[in-house]
Amino acid sequence: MPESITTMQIIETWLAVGFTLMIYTFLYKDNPIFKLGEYIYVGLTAGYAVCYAWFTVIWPDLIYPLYRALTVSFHIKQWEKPLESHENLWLIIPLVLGILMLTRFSSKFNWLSRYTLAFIMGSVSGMSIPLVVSANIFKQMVPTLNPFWGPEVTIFQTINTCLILVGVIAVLIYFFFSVEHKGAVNKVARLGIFYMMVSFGAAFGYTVMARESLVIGRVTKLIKWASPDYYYATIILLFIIIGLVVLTELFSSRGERTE
Amino acid sequence: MTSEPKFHIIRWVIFALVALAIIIPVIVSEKIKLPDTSSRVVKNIYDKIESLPAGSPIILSIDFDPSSDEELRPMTMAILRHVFRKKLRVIGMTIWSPQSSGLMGDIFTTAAKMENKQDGLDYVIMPFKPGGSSVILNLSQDIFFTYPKDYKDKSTKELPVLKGIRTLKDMKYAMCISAGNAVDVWIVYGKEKGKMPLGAGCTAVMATDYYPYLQSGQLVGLMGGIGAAAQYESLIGEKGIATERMKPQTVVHSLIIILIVVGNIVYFTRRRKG
Repeated sequence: MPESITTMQIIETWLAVGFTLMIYTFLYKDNPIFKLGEYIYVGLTAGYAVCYAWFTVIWPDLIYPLYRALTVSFHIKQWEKPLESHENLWLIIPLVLGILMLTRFSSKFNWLSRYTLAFIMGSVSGMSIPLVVSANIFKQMVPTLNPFWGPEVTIFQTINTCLILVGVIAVLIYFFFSVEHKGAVNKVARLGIFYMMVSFGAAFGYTVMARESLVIGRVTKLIKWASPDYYYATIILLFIIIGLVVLTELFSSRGERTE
Repeated sequence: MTSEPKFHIIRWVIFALVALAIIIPVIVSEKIKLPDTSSRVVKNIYDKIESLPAGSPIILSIDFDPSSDEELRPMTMAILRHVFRKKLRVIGMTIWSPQSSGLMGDIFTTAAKMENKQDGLDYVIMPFKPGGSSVILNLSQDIFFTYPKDYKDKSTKELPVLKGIRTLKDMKYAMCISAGNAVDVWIVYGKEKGKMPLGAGCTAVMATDYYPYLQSGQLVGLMGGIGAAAQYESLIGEKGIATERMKPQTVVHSLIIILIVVGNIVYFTRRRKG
């Protein structure tokens, strides 16, 4: 083992290789080894998220300041440093709203959670609507209103502006169902389809690139981890995982035969 | 019509071909040479960072988790190394998931070690806060209220890296590298409130969604997937993971183009035969 690789890194590598191969067994078919890897991943992620939320948000931003505010408010000065003010008492409101959300688990009291949801919907709508309209509608209209010619406009910019303008109109007409798609309207709508096909093609090409880069990244690492530095983790675990898949297949086929 | 067993075999042949198209170029990667290119949208981000004077504060929002690490880490590393070299002050944050925090810590530490930068002095990592848009809106009012403590539980008011910074409007640039809708959130809330120039990096799947924001000037540049990361590595003169991964990527892309052409020929031939 090279000095730069610690024992902890070796353990981490073996775990990473094991779980990667367990998940890749799905290429063969949905099987218990894949399911085991999937469930462990989901469980770990959920557990990590809950713990992280507790230690970085719920405790420092809610429970601890509220507890301090309450203790000072009732003159129980048991803390080393007294609280500057009682302003954190307002945290009772989000605490109550949060608790009300938990009533969704009860069929009798789940109506109480609607107050929290109403608060969320109201506040988020108020915050979002002006910004969303500005960013996604007004500012998005700008490229369609660019000048076709001018002292600083190049021929390529003119072509781009034409393409954008024609594309926006054609796609909008395709989705305009109040008029029957006949004659000139039909031709423009078909041009809209052409525009959308180009967009879908570009999206598909990018999607292929995204999926491949994930596989390439993992395969590159698996090849690296097959080296003696990592005690042939990939090779050994590959055989073990294949063996386990074969065993589970044998057991399941035997079970089916017995039934 | 294609029978089921035949289709099953073809599927396995495609799997095997793709596997070979990845493994062989990885093994013989030194023999494969690719030309250095960079698109305008990627270069815009590079130019924007180049134009910032040393000491300018910027935000880097790392909004992806381990499932997209392979695709987005290379571009994050390239950006970070560039901003560290330019001596910019970096505020690392995330609005995506709790898992992003650990990942961000690892990426920042690695890049900082490479460029000899110090936590608290040259950069700061903020812990994950849920709320997404609310977090950004809070940042537009008071950074220290939003993040009273950093990732290592140090008081943010005492950090030299945050000296002279109060709100999002003090930022000279912001960049969101995302595997989800965080770029949308940054465009709608961050850009609208902070008015600072905004760049975006995203998984290739999402790249086409953000081109309209380039045309409207809401984004200064866009990096989509590993290809953009390789271009950025080329721009900073530091060829790394992304450049290496573009080699198998190019081979697999060629294979897929061939498969699409063959698939279409087979389809149209069969249709003609009825």
